[in-house]
Amino acid sequence: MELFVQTLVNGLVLGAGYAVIAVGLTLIFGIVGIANFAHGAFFAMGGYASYLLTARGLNYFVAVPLAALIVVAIGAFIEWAIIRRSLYGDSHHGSLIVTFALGQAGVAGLILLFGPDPLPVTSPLGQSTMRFLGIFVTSQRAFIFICSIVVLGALGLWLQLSVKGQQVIAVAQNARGALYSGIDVPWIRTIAFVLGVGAAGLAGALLAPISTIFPTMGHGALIVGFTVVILGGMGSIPGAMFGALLIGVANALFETYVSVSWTPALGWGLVIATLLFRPQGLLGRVQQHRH
Amino acid sequence: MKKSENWSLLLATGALVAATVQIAFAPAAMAADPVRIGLALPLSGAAASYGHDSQRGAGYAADLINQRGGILNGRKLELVFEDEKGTPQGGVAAVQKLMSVGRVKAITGGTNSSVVLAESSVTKGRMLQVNAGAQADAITEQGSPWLFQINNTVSLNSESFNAYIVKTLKPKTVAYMGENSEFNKTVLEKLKESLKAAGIELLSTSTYDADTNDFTSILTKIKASNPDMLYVADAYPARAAQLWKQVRQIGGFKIEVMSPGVVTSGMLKPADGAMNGVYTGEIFMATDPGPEGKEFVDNYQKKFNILPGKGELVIFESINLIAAAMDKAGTDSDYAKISKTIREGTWPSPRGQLKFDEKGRARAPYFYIQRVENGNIVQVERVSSH
Repeated sequence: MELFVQTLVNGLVLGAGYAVIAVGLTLIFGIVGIANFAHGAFFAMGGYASYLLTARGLNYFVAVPLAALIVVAIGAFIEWAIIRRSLYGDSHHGSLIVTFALGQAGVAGLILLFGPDPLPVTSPLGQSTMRFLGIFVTSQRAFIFICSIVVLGALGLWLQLSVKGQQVIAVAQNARGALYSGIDVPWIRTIAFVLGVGAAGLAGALLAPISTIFPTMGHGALIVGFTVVILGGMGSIPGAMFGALLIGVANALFETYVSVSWTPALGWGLVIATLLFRPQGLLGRVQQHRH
Repeated sequence: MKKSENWSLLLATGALVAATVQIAFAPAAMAADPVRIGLALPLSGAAASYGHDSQRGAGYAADLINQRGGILNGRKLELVFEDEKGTPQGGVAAVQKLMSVGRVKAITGGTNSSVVLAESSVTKGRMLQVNAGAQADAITEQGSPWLFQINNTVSLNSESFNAYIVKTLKPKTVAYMGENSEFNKTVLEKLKESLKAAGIELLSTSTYDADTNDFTSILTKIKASNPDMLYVADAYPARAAQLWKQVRQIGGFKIEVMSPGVVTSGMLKPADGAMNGVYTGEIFMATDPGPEGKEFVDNYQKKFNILPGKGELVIFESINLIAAAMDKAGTDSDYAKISKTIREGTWPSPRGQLKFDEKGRARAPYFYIQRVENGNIVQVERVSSH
């Protein structure tokens, strides 16, 4: 029984990490309509930014939000220089090619700047663990879990309660209608893209002490992100949270009770089943024609 | 005769004299042609640091040989580098280019087994290839008569290391976890054989996919079975560092070991102290190189201001082997003769005398049992392999 509860807890904290990765991806897809294949590169940039800041003596807890802001700045520049000019209103094929190329360029840039070897990011939480009734959670994972709930909760509230948030939802539902209603659609798209990219950077900084940082660290994150987003529903923030926790728990249970070797197949199996029987995802809305 | 005709005659005579001189001196010029050796190395991509280490070690070997006057009656060695990008298709392209455009007489390099396996399909029956660092048994299993290997194979490393596990560490129960790869399959097979022979129980084997980045559930399950020893097989620095951090988080195991031949500073640094206490094994250790290696280590350190690692050593030995064997055989292109010379001879190296078996494999003269302490590798024992 203890092993089962421990596995369940492992899955939940693992899933919380997936949720932070996936939320930015789902935001950009839902609002801007771009499948952002450069998400993994922005995730890695967040990791490297936290490394640079902590290596200069800054406290890790201060470095995490700053790292996200650095990635926001990089994202804003890329949005202005490339995304805005090439992708808005374009087909998904265009977004696939441009963001894939951007991702590759980002990884190549990191290799040039920092070299290919992995580097450590030190968190004050270190390898410490918290124990409760015989169940343990590593302190860094617990921190990620809390951050994940705070960030996703704040994002959800902002979208529901603020005027800007409502405008973002309006653009996601019907961009042309939003434009006719006087909403500054290009500006809303910029906000959504930069927020999504910032979330990727935040995820990179949060997971860096666990995963160590290396230029291709985002590849795995990108795959996990897409799996979660497809499962939860493209563009749905509660879906990203739900999908992430579901995959985290399913993976943990499968690894413990069935087979470690077959665990990667489980995620894809769930994705295929979702695409077959509920293509809009578990919590997603059926996609309308996008203008 | 007009003046212009005079000039024409003069030019024609000059051209004739120049041609005669060129013909007369051609054999001498040919004799002084350098012997070009091709190196396919990962100079970009995730494994680039291995490539740059090898480049330095190879350059050092060639410099020493050329300072001594070269080979084959004064011909200098010239190294031609090509980037194999750490991928099999990159390896094939690099070797093809070295052979056709680079006009090399031998191929060396090799840090990744799947890359060397792919390259050997190009060189088989066509050119001498010396695999410096890649360890998979399959490379020298395919019966290519002109292919040699400097580093120990996975089997040889595992045999030496497993002997230490069963005779000295003596765990009662063992749990194994490792990346699901061809390389680690041999590691696991050899471990199973050794444990079975010693009557040690293997409680569980967990093989994970290359994309796995969280090991908490696997480790929780292993921890629940309470083994005496955890055996980890993973050659990828970032993932291994992460794995050991998670081992530390769940409280660790009584005895912890890592498959031999894979622990590098590139793995220890990101592990950030999490690998302290872990046992492993290696064929070379710069801090205790043995009597034959002291001069190499001292001079290398003096020149580059760093201690040579295994990567630098094996490529240094590869270049030396190719040069010495060509010199002794008296040819740079009769590969049957050069290969016969390599098989029959004994070749001095910083690790002692290297001998090659029928499959073209060298067995390391010494095997080092190591332990990680304070983020550094320290020697536990140096075992003679003979």
